Amino acid sequence: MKTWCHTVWALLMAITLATACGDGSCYNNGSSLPLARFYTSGTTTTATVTALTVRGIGVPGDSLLIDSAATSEFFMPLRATTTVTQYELTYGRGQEARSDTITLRYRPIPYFASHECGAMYNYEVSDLECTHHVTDSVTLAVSTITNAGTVALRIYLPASNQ
Amino acid sequence: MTRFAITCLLALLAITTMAQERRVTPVRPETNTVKPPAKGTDEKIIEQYLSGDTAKALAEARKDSLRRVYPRYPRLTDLALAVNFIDPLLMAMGQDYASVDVSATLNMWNRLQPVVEVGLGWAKTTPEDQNFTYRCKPSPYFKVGANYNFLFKSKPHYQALFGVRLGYSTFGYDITDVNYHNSYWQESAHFNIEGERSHALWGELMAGLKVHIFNSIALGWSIRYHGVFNYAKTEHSRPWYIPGYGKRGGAIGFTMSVYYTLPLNRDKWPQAH
Repeated sequence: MKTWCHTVWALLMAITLATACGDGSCYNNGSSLPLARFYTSGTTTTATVTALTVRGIGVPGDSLLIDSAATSEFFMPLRATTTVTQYELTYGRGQEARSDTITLRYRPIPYFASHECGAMYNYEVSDLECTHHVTDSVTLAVSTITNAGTVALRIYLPASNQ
Repeated sequence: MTRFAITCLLALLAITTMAQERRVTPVRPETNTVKPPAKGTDEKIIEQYLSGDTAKALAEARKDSLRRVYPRYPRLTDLALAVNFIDPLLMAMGQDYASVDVSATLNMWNRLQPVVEVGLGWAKTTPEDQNFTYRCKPSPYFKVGANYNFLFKSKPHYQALFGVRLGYSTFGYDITDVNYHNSYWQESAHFNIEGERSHALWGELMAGLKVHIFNSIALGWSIRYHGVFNYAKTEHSRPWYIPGYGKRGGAIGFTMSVYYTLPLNRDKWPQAH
């Protein structure tokens, strides 16, 4: 009887732990979007850019993702029909504005996340490039971009450009 | 002085002797008689009593009394075959998936019941607010476990059960008609994810009731608390539905079964039942 009770108790604990990992709702994004966050060069401190403009190169109508706004992070939607996406990041306004281009090469992977979040593309990034007019460096935090909403790109800026 | 000493010694001796005297409690005659067996005692025991073997008769009477309070069923009491049919009913009412299984339950001592369940599960859903159709082909699943019948003193016709199960399924599924749209880049894509394979291992705790309806037919209900211990995911997906389990993220399941019971060793069942 004691063994029986121990078995039931162990199973109850195991099932409770197993159901704790359930995904009844979509707590993540409905799409896989790489989140880019700014950091001060040589530190792990988050930086805020006072005036940032972000534009996808080749986007229909030259539409802007961010228009001269203060921000410390932003989502960069990737193209699913090609394997390369480029973004132009412009720091500052008017005559003093300077731009850098970030290029991502990747493999789009069709992915079914869950009943609640739906189907989307994940992106397995193979290469990352950046010009260095303002940006010190860009690093990849994860190799596969999913809908988890975690930081995928770390953009390091000199302290003078924040 | 010598006389006084001798008197004291004699007095002391007399007191000691009085103190050591044993008192015998008289035995009343009726305590030596053996009481006759109670009404309703088995005829065989009464015969033993009448034959003069009262000690054996009393021992047998005690056993008989215990048997009446605590009936012992044979090791193989009965075998129940069941069909769980709740999911097809729920599917008819709009549920996106279903599992149908048959089970065999061996009732041992009317208390412990090893169970084997075998079934098929399938699913098809196209959520209105989503961009896909998920389809799981009919796939097999297996469960093994045991029940404990809390009403083991009563007839096997009525049972209150608590049980555990370990389930396993291997299955295939497709996600089709996916419409993907990127509003910033203004591009759309249409794709299918087909031929996905997975397997899952899970555990269940169940509480249920079984009620005799007529002849050998009974109905049973159970509520099950379950969790997935392990499942396989692929590069393109994680399964949404697991045959025999339900939605992968769900924790509660229900069953409703119709039973056909075959009594075993019927002659060894307690006579009162």
